[in-house]
Amino acid sequence: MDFIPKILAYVCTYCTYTAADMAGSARMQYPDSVRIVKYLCTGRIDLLHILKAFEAGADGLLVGG
Amino acid sequence: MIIAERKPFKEIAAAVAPYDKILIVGCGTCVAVCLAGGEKEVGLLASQLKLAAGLKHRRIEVGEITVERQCDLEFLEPLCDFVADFDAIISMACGAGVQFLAHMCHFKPIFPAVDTTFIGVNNAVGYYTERCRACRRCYLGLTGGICPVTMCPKGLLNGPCGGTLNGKCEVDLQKDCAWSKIYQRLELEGRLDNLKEIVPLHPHSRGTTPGTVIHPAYRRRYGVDE
Amino acid sequence: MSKLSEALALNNFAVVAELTPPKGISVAAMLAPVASLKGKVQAFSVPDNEHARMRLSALACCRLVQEAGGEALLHLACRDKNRLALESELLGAAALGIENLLLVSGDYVTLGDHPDAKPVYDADSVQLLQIAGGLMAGRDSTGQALDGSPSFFLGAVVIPEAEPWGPQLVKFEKKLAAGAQFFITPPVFDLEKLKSFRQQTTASAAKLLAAVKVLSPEEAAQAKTGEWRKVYAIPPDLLARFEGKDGNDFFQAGAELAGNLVGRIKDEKLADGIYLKAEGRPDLLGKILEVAGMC
Repeated sequence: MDFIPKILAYVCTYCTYTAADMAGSARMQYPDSVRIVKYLCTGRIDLLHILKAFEAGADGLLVGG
Repeated sequence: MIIAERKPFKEIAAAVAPYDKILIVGCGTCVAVCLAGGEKEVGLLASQLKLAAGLKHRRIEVGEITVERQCDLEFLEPLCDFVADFDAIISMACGAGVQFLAHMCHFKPIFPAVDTTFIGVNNAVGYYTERCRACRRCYLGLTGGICPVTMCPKGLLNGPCGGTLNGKCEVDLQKDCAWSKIYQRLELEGRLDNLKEIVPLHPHSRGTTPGTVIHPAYRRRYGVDE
Repeated sequence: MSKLSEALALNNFAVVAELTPPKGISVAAMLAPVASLKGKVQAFSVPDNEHARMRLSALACCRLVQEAGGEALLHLACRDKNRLALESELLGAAALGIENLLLVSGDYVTLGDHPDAKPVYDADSVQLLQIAGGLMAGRDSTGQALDGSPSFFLGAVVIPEAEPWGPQLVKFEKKLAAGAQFFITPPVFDLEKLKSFRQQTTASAAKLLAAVKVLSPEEAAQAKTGEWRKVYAIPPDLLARFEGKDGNDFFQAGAELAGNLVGRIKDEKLADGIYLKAEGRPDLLGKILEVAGMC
């Protein structure tokens, strides 16, 4: 069985999330193993948030902001 | 304040390896300011420990709590019941806090998560420098507010050694020679006469460890020595 | 009265030669200059774990120097001993007949070969001079009476080229007040600086021994590349004399230069005596004196 990594995406609501929205309206797809967490600003991301993601079982993390 | 540095993760992990239920106790005062053992660092360490255990297919329980000051009985006492549920304690306080916590919580193995470094100042977030050796005989009035015991690696009381080079210290040429600074300062203040008298040998007996200070008011009220 | 203090008291130009205690117990090489030079120098000086590098005990070396027929000058560093050890070492020196002392703070431990050792500095050099003075007056540093008091000829270090000069002067004056009878400088290459120091301090009764050393190729290289970390400077024209020389030629040129410097210090009365250093090449000590026309 192929390994499908669980990716958590920490995204900024103003840029990356908007981009994801646009991509969606253009019917572009992304795998369902990616979960999005919306930040008001990715400047809020703390080292602890990243560690918690891995603790919760994420295999990888994408920060977009 | 007290400055400390967090120990390498490997060292902490090795110390608590035998235990499945670990309580990490942070301290909200000095070590929080110097980013070594406050609430934030407790969270990071807890997460690190859980992840490291997970990689070894172990599940451990890590409790997190931060008290205002571990060196203060008032803040530490309420913790005692809380500790009962855990197999071991990691204290992120300075050496004083670790010992006080150990004293309060009998029969629980306790491990320090920081190396206590010195009494110093917070120049900027992340930049701390030593200022005081707690020598129990303060010379600062004589030396223009610059401590010869701390700021001179040799703790010389009567002037610079022969190694000072262009006002820098022989031990570390990046650092100022304490005695050059003391001289400059006293010269500016017109107090160079302070340096005429020979300072006698330092009374080390005062610094015999472990020290005790009893406030006169405490003594009056309780009439005891400890 | 030691030969050194006698010579200085009579205003005879005194010569002290520095020996290098071995790292180990083979003392023959260290003692070689004693046999060859004992008629020409007043005292042989023995550093105490110089540069914080562990060596054979200076006190033991001084005793060996005496047994070989020389007079000794014992260095005592505050770095390695607390006041108990300093005082008993001083009494020990006196009991062995060692009078000449050079009392120093001592280079810091991290600069030496035992960087993790505990630095002591219980006393500083000024306080150590006071301690020695107290012992001579029959009292230890706590004021307790001694059973028989020593007599010493007390020496200290002064840095004529110190920068800034103010703090150094404070220390120099305290050392004088604490009873220093003679001073030794770090190696001198720039005689102008020595001259101006001499002019500033003529009022003092203490004698001055100017150190003159045989430059090593390593030091010359450092001085040239600007990595020089010493409290004395080497004027470029003197450094130029070593251009293109290596090995024995280099050391011969070094001894020649040292001899010239000694000659000038003596003729121009820039000091009351000299303190010769030739680390690693004790055989050159005699040559320095020859070049200077002193033997």
